[in-house]
Amino acid sequence: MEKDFKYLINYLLGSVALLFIVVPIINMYFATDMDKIFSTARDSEVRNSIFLTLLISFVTTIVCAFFAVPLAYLISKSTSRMKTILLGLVNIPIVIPHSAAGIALLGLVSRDNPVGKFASSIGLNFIDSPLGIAIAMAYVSVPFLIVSAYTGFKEIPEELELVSRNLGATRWQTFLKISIPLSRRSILAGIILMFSRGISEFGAVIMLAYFPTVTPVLIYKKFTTHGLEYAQPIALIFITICLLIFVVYYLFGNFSKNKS
Amino acid sequence: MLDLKNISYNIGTFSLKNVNLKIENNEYHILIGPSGSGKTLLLNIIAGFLKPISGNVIFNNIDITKLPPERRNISYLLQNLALFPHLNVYQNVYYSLKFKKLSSKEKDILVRKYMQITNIEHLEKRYPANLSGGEKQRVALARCLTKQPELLLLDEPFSAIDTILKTDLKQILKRIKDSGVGIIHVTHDPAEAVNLADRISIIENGNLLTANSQSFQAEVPVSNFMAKFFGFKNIYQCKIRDLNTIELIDNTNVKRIAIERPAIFNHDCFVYIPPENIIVSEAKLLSSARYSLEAIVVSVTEDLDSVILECDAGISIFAKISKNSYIDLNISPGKKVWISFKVSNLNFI
Repeated sequence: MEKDFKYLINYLLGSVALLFIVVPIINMYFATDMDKIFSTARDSEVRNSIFLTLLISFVTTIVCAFFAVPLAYLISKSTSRMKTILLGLVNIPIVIPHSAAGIALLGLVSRDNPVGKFASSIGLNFIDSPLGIAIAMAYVSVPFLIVSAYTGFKEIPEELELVSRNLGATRWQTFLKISIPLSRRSILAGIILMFSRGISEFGAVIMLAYFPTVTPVLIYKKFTTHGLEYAQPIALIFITICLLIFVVYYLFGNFSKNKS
Repeated sequence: MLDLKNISYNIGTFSLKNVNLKIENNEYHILIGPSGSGKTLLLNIIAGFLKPISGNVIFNNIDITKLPPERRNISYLLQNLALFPHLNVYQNVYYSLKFKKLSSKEKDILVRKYMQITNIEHLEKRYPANLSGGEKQRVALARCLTKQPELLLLDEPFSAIDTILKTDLKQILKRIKDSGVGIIHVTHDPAEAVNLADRISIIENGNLLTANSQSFQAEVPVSNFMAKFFGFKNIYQCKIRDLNTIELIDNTNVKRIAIERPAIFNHDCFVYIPPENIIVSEAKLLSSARYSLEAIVVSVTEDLDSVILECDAGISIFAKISKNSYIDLNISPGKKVWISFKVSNLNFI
């Protein structure tokens, strides 16, 4: 009996945690007037903002993948103590406040800094530009891709890569023909995670680029200038988009599990 | 073909110590040793997966010690086979040809040739997850062969397959050897060694001893060695007395038997008599093709479907008989029996 009672406590405590996560979202769906949602969806400022957010996050994710995936591979193959240090470094953006990350990036790309000066000299402007939004999104979201790809690479049995080399493939060919295909699900899952984390970034983005306005910044702008009533429909539309991406990720994960 | 010179390697507390081994062209060489003796480690060094801390790997008179695996014309069949799970059978077998400058047609011909040799043509579109153990084994072997190596490394190739498939695979391996490929076959099972080997090396705790050489016989007291490391029965030191007489020596016990030995064994060697090839009877079997010895049953060990008898015939001889025979003969310790075996069942090592 005592055991059953303790098990019931698990249900109760777990339900509280679940409701805490779900109720604010559900409440928002019920509290927002449908007409307002439709009129907001027709608003060109909102539509442009959502399109810009999705586009920048998508391009950023794809570009970052070319750098993040090789890094994840190298970390997974590292046998030295550097592996732990590298993994720690990669996760820094996750553990620091995103507004602080934005300040750090701003310090680096501002025109007072040699990096910023150099970028400016070749025509690259990070402040209040899509490029600034991109690096802010990339900085805070790329760890998700690296860690996911790292997990995928780590799960590949070493023998498969050794056999590939025994059969005539160089290390690079083995990476392309064995390691990447075998960890493609983890890499794709990481890409989806990075993309969805990128579109929802606010703290780091606002430090570098208030304009052009990405959706999280637009929600904040509407809230501070017009109040909750005007911010809520945009937030609701954006949450729906994020949830759809989450559903894709979830279905993808389940599909992968079933296939494997 | 292959010459290992003073190869040493340390891993944790284990070390390979100054291993020297020569493999001739077209040789089927078996490397026997108990688990953890360094067999696989040695294959990994030959394949280039590991670099020895000292010594040289010479292949066709070229020092390949520092050559990466992909530049060695050596194929390696790993114990766990390591088939690529995302590629189907055809693609697995084709893999090594991706890196060769041949036309698509030539590549296809090669793949089909080796799929035919290993009897896997019907599995072409199947993925490794949908193959049986024996099928996987043959696919992995075909994949190794498509590379057209000069030397094939086999790590416990019979470990995960049943007796019928073993026989098939042995025939395939013999054909491969006959086609001019050298083979190093790692195993812990002496029966495999006897059936397939041109030469045998024994590896114990990182030390390598090569059979069919004076040094091996001088250094290894065979009956003790085999008993200790393989738990295998009926392996005797064999002294040649004359053309028709040999002495089988089990520890200090000597049994002189008159048989016509193969002419190639003109020096002292070892003899292995598989326990399942020994017939036990109450009366002497009258056959000129058989050698019979009177013996006393010392102990009886029942297995699932067979019974192992330890018999004292001057030397200790083990016989494996069926449960039905055991019941029919009403055998118990102390009973006098006749044990007989065909002369062709004597395996000279």
